[in-house]
Amino acid sequence: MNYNLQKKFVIFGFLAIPVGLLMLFLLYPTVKLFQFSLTDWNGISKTFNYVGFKNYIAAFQTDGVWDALRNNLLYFIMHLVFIPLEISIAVLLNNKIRASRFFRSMVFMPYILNGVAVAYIFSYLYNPINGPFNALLDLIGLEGLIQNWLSDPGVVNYSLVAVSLWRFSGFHVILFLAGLQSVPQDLYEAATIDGAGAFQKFRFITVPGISRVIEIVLFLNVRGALQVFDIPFLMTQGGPGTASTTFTVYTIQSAFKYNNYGLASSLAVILMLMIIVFTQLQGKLFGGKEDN
Amino acid sequence: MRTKKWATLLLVCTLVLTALSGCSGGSGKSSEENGDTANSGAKADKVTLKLAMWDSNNDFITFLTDKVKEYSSVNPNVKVEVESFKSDSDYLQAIKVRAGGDALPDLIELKPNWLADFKEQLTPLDDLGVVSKNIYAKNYAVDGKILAIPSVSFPELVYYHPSVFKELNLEVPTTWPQFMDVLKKIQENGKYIPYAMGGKDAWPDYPFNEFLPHIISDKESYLSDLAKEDAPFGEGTPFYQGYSQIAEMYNANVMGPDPLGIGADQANDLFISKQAAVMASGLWFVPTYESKAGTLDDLAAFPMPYRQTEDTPLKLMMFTDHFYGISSSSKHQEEAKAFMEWFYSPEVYKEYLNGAQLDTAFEGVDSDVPFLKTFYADNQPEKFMYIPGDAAYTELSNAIQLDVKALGQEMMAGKTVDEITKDLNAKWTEARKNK
Repeated sequence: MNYNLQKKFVIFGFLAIPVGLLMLFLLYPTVKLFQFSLTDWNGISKTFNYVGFKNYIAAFQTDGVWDALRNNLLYFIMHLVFIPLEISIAVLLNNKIRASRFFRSMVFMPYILNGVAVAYIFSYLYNPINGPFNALLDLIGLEGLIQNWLSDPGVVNYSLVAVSLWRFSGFHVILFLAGLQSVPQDLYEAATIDGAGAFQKFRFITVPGISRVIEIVLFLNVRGALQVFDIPFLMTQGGPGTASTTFTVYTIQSAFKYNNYGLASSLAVILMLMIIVFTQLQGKLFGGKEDN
Repeated sequence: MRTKKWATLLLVCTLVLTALSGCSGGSGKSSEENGDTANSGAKADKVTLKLAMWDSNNDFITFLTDKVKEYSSVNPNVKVEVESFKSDSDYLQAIKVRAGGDALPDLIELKPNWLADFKEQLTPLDDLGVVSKNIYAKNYAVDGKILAIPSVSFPELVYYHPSVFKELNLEVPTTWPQFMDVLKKIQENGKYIPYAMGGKDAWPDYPFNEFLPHIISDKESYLSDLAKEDAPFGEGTPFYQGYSQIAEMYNANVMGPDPLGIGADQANDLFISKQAAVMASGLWFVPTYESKAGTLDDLAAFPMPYRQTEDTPLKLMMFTDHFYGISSSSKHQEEAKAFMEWFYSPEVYKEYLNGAQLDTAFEGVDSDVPFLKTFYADNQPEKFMYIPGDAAYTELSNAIQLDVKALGQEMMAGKTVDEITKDLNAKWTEARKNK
């Protein structure tokens, strides 16, 4: 065996293991998922029938799916609205303010906390009987704002989105902060000499400087909003009724509660496609901008 | 470039080989395992039976775990291990996943309404001796076969604090209008929450949203009959009538400030700490109450007065639960059956029953639950068995994702009976068409 062949053999030998694992744990389940999405398997039975694209058609025709997607949209929009605020906080923390190191770790803290713990903490805070949140509103004379935070179908999604914002905004802030620190200081100095104001510096130096990070945060937002699961599942189980059901909660319930693995698999495939499509669209949007 | 192509080809070959060897390795192993089992049967080696169960009561789980260990003294070759879950929903999810992978434990616990789903995974138990002594097993046969043995039966009750009734000068209601009247009077008094509803968890509304139409229909086969109709939810049906009654209660503001905001545990605590006056639940609530309150002195119960007038008989919803079956994929069928015979033998079963604090499911073994004895001494209602829907019903209700307890939540949140029934009828008709 010559040296070259030996070298290649070693390389392929080492590559075979990770690629093999990838195929086993990623590619194979995905193929299986697609296979199940074309069947009427109930998840328990030993047999199933192929039903073509019936599950996909059913998914698009079911009101529950669209209602769930509408709830996902709310997560997306609210997180989107918060991005400017997150950037502003990052800018603030990037400046040499007193105890900025402390604030940085504080901002990041909610993201480190276990999702289940967060859900339980907020379930307690929103509690209608002796709940701290309502007690606080009462204390500061805003008892008029007291709501049935988790039981009013018109309010519940906003309550849950608030938890999601609390949990993930800090992470976004840290990402923006990292982006900000990579913007060269001399650009700001040059801008100051040219007489640019704070807003102009922000608009023409900071924002373009961190556009890559904005793109990442937007991707995380799309993916996170479409996949949001733990907060509604743990805090309301998608309720009251189906008021706070998200796409993933709906998928899980289709599979485990209503024994419809076929439909659930098709929903999972649709979710995967949605994320790919939205990410591509976003990439196009940003790619286009950079070309200009 | 050529090297690159060559490299790619080699990589692909390696991958295919790895994948193939992985697959063949897997099947080889399973055949070895099968061989092992065959041998072990011949040698009568030690066998471990896995028993999966759930219970919300930790003490009962400990009791059962210890109890089944005693089987080794009867049959030294067999060891029984309990795998426990705290809630039935977690349990169900776990065993569904295992059923999909054909890896169920040897003995599994089931609820009556899961039997049809698991019919392929369960071994028929008609030939077991203990089955003939079971009072209810035949009622739950699937396709004429007894697939699991019910361990307990119990009444669904409305609990109340006699001290509160005395303080407010209230009589135990025996009709629905009287029941509403009692709740409203407690509400008017203002000192207690009339009814403790843990609506956040959905399931605590089952005495109403699940049982009321069923008992009003006066047919134990009500759920299965629904599958034979195109529009079984509209006006004039037991469902509509039942849900109208429920709406009357949910809209009467008798369930505290925010029934949907509190869960089952919190609602229980409200009742146990006497902040709430009334709540409905199965007999299984009594041990929970006793462990938290320390005494049963201020606890009494009456049958849920579903009926409108005293002209019709007062019926009591009876539930059978904690079914045990043998997984058809178990490699130790005979050992599992022998264990079941022991488990349901009068001496062992009696201890089980006392541990569970519920009513019997077997002839010749009576339960020693003082609370139940007092209840039956004061009340002699006609018993009405809860029989779950058949496979056709389950298929349809899964297809339209029917969850009556979630409907209860929607009603508490303000959805009207007309909206609900119209929607259900439309979906039901459509699902029947697509069947």
